[in-house]
Parts: sequence; structure tokens; C-alpha cells
Amino acid sequence: MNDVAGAPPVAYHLLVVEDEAQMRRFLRVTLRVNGYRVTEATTATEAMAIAETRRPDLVILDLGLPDLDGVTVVGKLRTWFTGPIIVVSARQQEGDKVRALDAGADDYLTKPFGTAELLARIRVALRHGNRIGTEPDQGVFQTGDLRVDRDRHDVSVRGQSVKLTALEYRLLDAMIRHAGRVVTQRQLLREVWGEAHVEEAHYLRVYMSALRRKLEENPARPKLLLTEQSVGYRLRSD
Amino acid sequence: MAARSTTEPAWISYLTAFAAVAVATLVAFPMFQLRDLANIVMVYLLAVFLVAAVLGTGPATLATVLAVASFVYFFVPYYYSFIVADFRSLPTFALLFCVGLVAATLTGRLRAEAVAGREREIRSQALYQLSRGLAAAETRAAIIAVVREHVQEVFGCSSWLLECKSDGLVVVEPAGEDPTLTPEVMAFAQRALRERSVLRADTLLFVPMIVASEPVGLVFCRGIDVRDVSSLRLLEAFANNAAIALQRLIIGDEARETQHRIDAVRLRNVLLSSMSHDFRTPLASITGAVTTLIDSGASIDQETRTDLMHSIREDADHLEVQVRNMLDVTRLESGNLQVERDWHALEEVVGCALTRLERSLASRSIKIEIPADLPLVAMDALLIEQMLVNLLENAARYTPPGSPIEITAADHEEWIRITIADHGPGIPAAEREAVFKKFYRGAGAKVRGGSGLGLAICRAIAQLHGGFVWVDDRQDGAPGSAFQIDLPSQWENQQVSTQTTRNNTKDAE
Repeated sequence: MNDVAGAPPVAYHLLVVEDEAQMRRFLRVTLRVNGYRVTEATTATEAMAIAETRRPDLVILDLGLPDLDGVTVVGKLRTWFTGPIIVVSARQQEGDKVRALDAGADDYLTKPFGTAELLARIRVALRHGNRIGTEPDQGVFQTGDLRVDRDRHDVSVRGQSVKLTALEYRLLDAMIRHAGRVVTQRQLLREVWGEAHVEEAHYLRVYMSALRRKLEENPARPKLLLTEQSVGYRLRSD
Repeated sequence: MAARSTTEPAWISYLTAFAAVAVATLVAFPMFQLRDLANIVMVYLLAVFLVAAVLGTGPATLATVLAVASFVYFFVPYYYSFIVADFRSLPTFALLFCVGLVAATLTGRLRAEAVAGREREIRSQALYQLSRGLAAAETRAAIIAVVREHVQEVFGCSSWLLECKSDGLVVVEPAGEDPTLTPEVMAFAQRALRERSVLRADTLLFVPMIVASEPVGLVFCRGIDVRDVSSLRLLEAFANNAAIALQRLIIGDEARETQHRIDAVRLRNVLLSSMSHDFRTPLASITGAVTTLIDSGASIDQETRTDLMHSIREDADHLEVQVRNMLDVTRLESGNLQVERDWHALEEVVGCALTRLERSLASRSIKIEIPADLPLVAMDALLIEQMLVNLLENAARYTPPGSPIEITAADHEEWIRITIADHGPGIPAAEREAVFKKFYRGAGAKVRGGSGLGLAICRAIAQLHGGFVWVDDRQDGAPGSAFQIDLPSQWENQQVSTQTTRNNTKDAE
């Protein structure tokens, strides 16, 4: 699991799409130091041309590009690009972030962010490939104090077995399929409750709250089921 | 009313005058037996006076002529003939005629004045009613409704208000009712405005509204039949009163607008001056630390280097907070911030706030007591999170390092109360309201470089939710502050705009 943390055996090729020079420099330096190959683009048009010819393993896409709306770029890339896309947004673009995720982006970063956060996102995204090929549905999933035997639907925390209702388990299972990555509220509602209930965010809040009470030591300071405010949730993964 | 008070047909008055003279003649016959011409003259004069008093000049004149004629015909020899035998009685006719005419004129004039007086009174009463209605009207729609209602009542016709705008005449009100402004009608309206006088076309009447000798619009009446000058004057007075009322409204709006602009400019100035200070301090320290690292990085020891880098990071965090506050304030001030409420679990929002403050609260023990059965709360999670972040940041900044912070929530049925209690020095009672004002910095904030915006933002956010935030003593009596937030648990699905809240904030201050 830790194979990418140091120097990756195969240098992954990342495409950084960012119009601000300083930000590009920070990303380039940080990513190269950590063993990635980096190609840069400053506009959406350029990015799409490069993505097509150079076939990067992952795209880091700023949502505030001068020529095209970030959400549109994600949609266009997703028509053929299957690798992970991480979008980068400023604080004023809360809504864009969620729309970009719903349009097919895998994860997001909000400026300003630290190196550790950046690298963690990239690591998880690359590990999963892209969102279409999710985690297998069998085997044992483990993160922190949580252990889930997905063949036997057996959940335990700190060695103690926990009884979940069917819906709670389905919610947890959905989170495990996307472990480490942000899952938007719509995505979760669709996967657990079905297409007809994608607007019923309060279902999700009630069940998430119940799940946390059973799994977290302190539900107000969750260590496993993390909230991404107004975006969705993220299950911590080691 | 004014126009209709003299509607008895004139011929009835004249007939009455005729009858009066006839009656006088009948009364005079018995007296004639006494051959007393003087008394007969008196009887005729009485009839003429009565007619003059009751019916006015015209009928009285007729009565005079008839009286003289009857007198000559019946009572002066040759009888039953207009031929006068004795010319000595001529002065008597002349006297009767002159006195009759004078009486007719005088009483007629008196009567006309009485009628005019009554009409004047009716008019001034109508005008008074209108201006009273206008004084109470606080919106355009109300002003226009008052005018239309009075025109309907006094003149019995529908009316519309047209206003002069840069792109020509526009119908102001009522929106749904169409006054059918054909090009001809508009041409008349334009002419009335140009000439600044009342213009009539059939049953259409155009009354310009003039303020300070400038036409601002006109009242357009349809189906009106008013021709006498005083009624038209009344309509003009109506129109001008309406114009003044509308003008007053516009001036009021402008004054408010100006005040708003002045406030905005003042805020911007204060923001700029506070920004330059609050931003420059951390920037200066970052620049200092970085240049040290670049210029003499090799010669300083590892510990100092780490120290410098940590200080850079802290200052960068501090800058981020400043920028965020500034953005929040401008968003709240601009008045176009929409609260996006949804049902949220409070503990989740608290969790998010704590995650964001992980670094600055690292040394603190934080006790959280949120009842497991606390219902979901209708809120804009991002805004409430921001409020909690601001309050917790304050707690972290102004209380001794390492001292614990408690976050509790309680369900009071109609509202949810969130309390953030610390073990700091507390806030003096006199300052407890002031700390929520923009740019107010308590003694502590002056030392520790707060922007004076954090709590003002909290107050605005709480009020946007229909709630309130304030600071109190701790419940347990220990030293320290307890910041309390009340959020309503009911939510009527209403959009709350910052506009109303800003007014509330002003009231609170």
C-alpha cells in the first residue's frame, strides 16, 4: 500500500492545469521532488490538447481558468479520459467544486492547501485508478480502528463487533468503495437510496450521524467518516 | 359634487319667478279695493326680494319685469291695459323697477357667493382628504391608489398616472388595468405636458403634474364630464399634490441611497486601512523570515531554521484568516448573500470547524457535549461553521495556551442553544455588546492583532438565521467567557436576505 510514498517505481505522469505562475511553480517543484513527471498547461484548451497527445496518468485542474469553465472542462475530459482528475478551487467556488465532482472529477483541493494534503490526494487517486473501477466488493477492508469483513458483512471497531442496520451497512459499504476519496452527497444518496432520492440530503445526515455514533470514539471529532463541508464525505484510508 | 350642486333646470326657477309674481298679483287685488298703490308696490317688491334670495339674479330680473308689467296692467289706469293714463305714476314704476333690479343683483350676488363658498368648502375638504391620504401613503402604489380613489369619489371617473421618464411617458399604476393609450391619447398627453395646462378631448382629461414649474407626469382621466373652472382647478390641485407626494418619496429614496453609499465608502476606507495593517504585519514577518533563509540559510542552525519556517507558516495562516474575514464582511455588507439553509447535524458542523482549526487548537483539550437526540438544525452549514471557527479562533487567541474549551448544545424546543465556553480572562460587562461591532478591538485584540471583524461576522451570520449570538458569564461561575448562539429550530423555508439583517444589526447597535 505504501509503494508510492517514497520514489514510485514507475514515475507517474501528471498534467497540471493552472493559470497562475506562482501556483504552477509550487506544484511543479513539489511534485517533481516527490518523484512525479509533470507537464504544465495554462489554459483549458491547451490542457485538453496535451491530455490527448501525452496521455497523463492524472490531471490536476484549477477551476478558475481564464478560457473555459472548470466544470465544462471536467465534462469534456471525461468523455474519453479515464484517469483520475483532481480539481483545485478557491474558497469562493464552493458550488463549482461540487458540480465538478458530480461531473466526474475524483477529488478536490481548496486553496490554500499544504503539500501533505496534495500528495495524499494524488496517492489515493492513483491507487484507485479512476472512479469507474472502484474497490472490489470482497475481502477485508481496514482503516484506523475500523475493520470490515465485506464477505460476511461483519463490522468491528477496536476489536469490538458493531451491529449495523441494513441501511447503515450499505452506507458504510458505499463509503468503503470510495475509501480515501471524497464522495458527494448526491453520489451517496444515489448509491444507497437510489436515483429518486438524490435531493434528500437529510436522510444522509441522519444515517451518517447514527453510523458515527457506532463507529467513532467521538462523533463530533470523527477520525474515520470525515465531513467535507457542503461537498460530501470522505472515509479515511490508511 | 361641486359641479352638480346647481343642477336644477333653469326653466323651473323662471317658472317659479313667474308664479311668485302671479301670487303677488292675487294678494294685491284685495288691497286694490283700498286704492293703496304704495302697499301693492310693497307686495311686488316682496315677491321680487323673495325670488332674488331663493333663485338668484336671473329669475329675480324676470320677476322685476313681470312685477312692473303686472302692476301697470292691473292696477294703473287704464286697467287691463299697458296704456298709462296718468303720467304721475311713472316714478312709481321706475322706483319699483330700479329697486327690483338692485335687489335682484345684490341678493343674486350674495347667493352666488354662498354657493361658491359652499363649493370652495367642498373642494378644500376634498383636497384636505386627499392630502391626508397622501401623507399616510408610504409607497408609490399607495400614493397612486389614494389619488385614483379620490378622483373616482369626487369626479366619478377612472384615472391613471403617467410619469415622465427619460424614454417618454410611462403608465405608473395600476399595472393590470389598461388605460388604452392610443397614439392619439399619447399625443394629447404630450401636448398637455408641453403646454402645462389641463387639456380636454371628449371625455378624456389630461391634467399635468407640476413640481417647481417642471412637469413630472400627468393624471389621465377617462369618462369625465367636468367643465366648470373650479372643478378643473381642483383636479389640478389633486395632480400637484400627487406629484409632490411622489417627489417626496423619490427624495426619501435618494437620501437613503446616499446614506447607504456613504456607509459603503466609510466601510471601504476602514477596511482598507485595517487591511493594510493586518496584511502587512504578517507579510513583513514572512518576507523577513524567508529572506533570512535565502540569504543566510546555510549559516543558521537547524533549530533556528525550523523555527523560522514555522513562523512563516503561522503568518501565512494568519493572512488566510484575514483574507477570509474580509471576504465575509464584504459579502455580508454587499447584501446579496443568500443563506442556503438545509437540515444539518450540529455535531457534523462542529466537527468541520474543529478540523479546520486543528493546528491552532492542538494544545487545547476540547470537551464537546452534544445530546445524541439533538434534532437536525436548519442552517447554512458553511456560515455556521464559519461562525464557530471565528468563536473558537477567538477562544484560542485570547485565552491562556493549554486552557480547555467547552462546546455544548441544548435543545430548548423553539431554539437550539450552542455555547462555547473558555477559561480566559472573560470580557467586562461594559464591553460585551461592543465586541460584536465592526472594527471594535478590545484591550486584548489590540495586543494580539485581531481584525475586529470576527465577532461582527458572527453576529451577522446568527441574525441571517433568525438567531442571535452574545457573550455571557460562564454558567458554573468560573472565570471565563461563554459565547452563546441561539438558532431557531423552526424553519419556514423562507429566504432571508442580508438586507433585512443589516437593518437589524443597526437597530441592535
